[in-house]
Amino acid sequence: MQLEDLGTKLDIDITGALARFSGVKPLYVKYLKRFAVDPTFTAYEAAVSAQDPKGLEESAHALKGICGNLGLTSLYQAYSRQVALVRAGDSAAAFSEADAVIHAARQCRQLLAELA
Amino acid sequence: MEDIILIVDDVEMNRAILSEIFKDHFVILEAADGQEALALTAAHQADIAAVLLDLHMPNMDGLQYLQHIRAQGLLKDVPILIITADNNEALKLSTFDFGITDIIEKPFNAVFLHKRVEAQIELYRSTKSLKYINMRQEAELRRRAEEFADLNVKVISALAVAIEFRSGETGVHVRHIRDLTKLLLRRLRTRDVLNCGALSDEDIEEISYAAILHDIGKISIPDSILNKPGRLTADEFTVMKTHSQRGADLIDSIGIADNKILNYARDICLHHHERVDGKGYPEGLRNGEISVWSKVVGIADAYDALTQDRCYKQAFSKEKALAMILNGECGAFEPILLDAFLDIVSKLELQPQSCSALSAACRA
Repeated sequence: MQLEDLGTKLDIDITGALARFSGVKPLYVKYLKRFAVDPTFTAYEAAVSAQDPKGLEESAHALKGICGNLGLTSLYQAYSRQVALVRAGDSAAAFSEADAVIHAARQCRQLLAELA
Repeated sequence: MEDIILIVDDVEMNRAILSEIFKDHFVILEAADGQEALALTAAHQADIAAVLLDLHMPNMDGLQYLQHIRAQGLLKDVPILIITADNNEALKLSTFDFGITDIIEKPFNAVFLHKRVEAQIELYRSTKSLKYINMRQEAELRRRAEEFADLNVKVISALAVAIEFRSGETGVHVRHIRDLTKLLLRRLRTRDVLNCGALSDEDIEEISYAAILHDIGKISIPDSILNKPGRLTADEFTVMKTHSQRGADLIDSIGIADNKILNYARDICLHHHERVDGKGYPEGLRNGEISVWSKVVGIADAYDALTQDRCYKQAFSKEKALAMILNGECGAFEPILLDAFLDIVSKLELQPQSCSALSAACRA
């Protein structure tokens, strides 16, 4: 799958993200593909399983930054909300929404793994 | 040359994005946490043009890194920009306590980021350059002010000697006054009397130099009175006495401002003929109303005038001069001052018209 095809399958701001990567498409693609195997995602899943608010906040914060830079708009918003909920003291809400976030992220990672 | 941008972020992709933005114009150094950044900062601090710093990192976070560099006085004149995805306003505000330059939120616009960082680097460079220029200009102004003050004193000293020449003397009197003043002040300091215990060597040097100027007001006294070979009439003496006030006026007219020597000199000119019993001139001051330097110059002037040939008299011997001073023939001096003066003069082998003994004593 080519980068241009992603736009129809994902909520992704390719133009904005490419600009952030100084227009260097191979660099952008390299990090999109790396997100498919990024260990931070595993850390996030582990924090959810362990019901660990601190771990959830830290991993969600890191993923928020990564998704923001990669232009993965929906995921960026989802992780932002996770961080905000934990910081607001509502970890329960964060954990209750976490499964949906994990599901969306897995779908995204699957697609990114198919990038040429 | 400051051409390094230090990028500090634990996420490799973030470092890669920033590196890509700046790599064409700067050397890029990357650190994955505060500890690595601290080591790179210490090693390259002179060449770092800017730091782009993430806040959340393992081992040592961005705030801890800032604490360390500020504690160590590193990167004082280098822009540090926080690049963060954190929405914690309090945390972001706290970074300003460590003198950071700006906060840029992720995800950022690469073009704007580039412009903002370059603008800050340019601003810091200009400020640093301006600081350097200011520092050099201030040093130059200080040097010129000192040179000017020094010139002022030299010109007036030359005037003091010229006045002596005018009254047929050789300039030796002013040098005697300078040396006697220095010796007497040192002795008073040793004895810790008349508030002299706190005088520094520099104070004594300055007062002694100022003492040279004690009679510059005589420039305004007519030759017929200044060089009269005999006793002055009451009217002539009244004119002669104006030299105290004229000397102070002369120094005022050139502006004494912060010049310590000229401040001392003004007071000495005005008050070296005051006596502790209030019978001196021009103001009839008493005891503590007269500064110690004016008292010291007063007694030195009286003694030297007695022991030198003048147009109106021949030199008295040292013993005769001291006896006349002790008898009050030159006005009243404090016993404590007289005692110290007798002590220093008794140890001098002072010859009329010679200052070699005094100069040697001053150098000792």
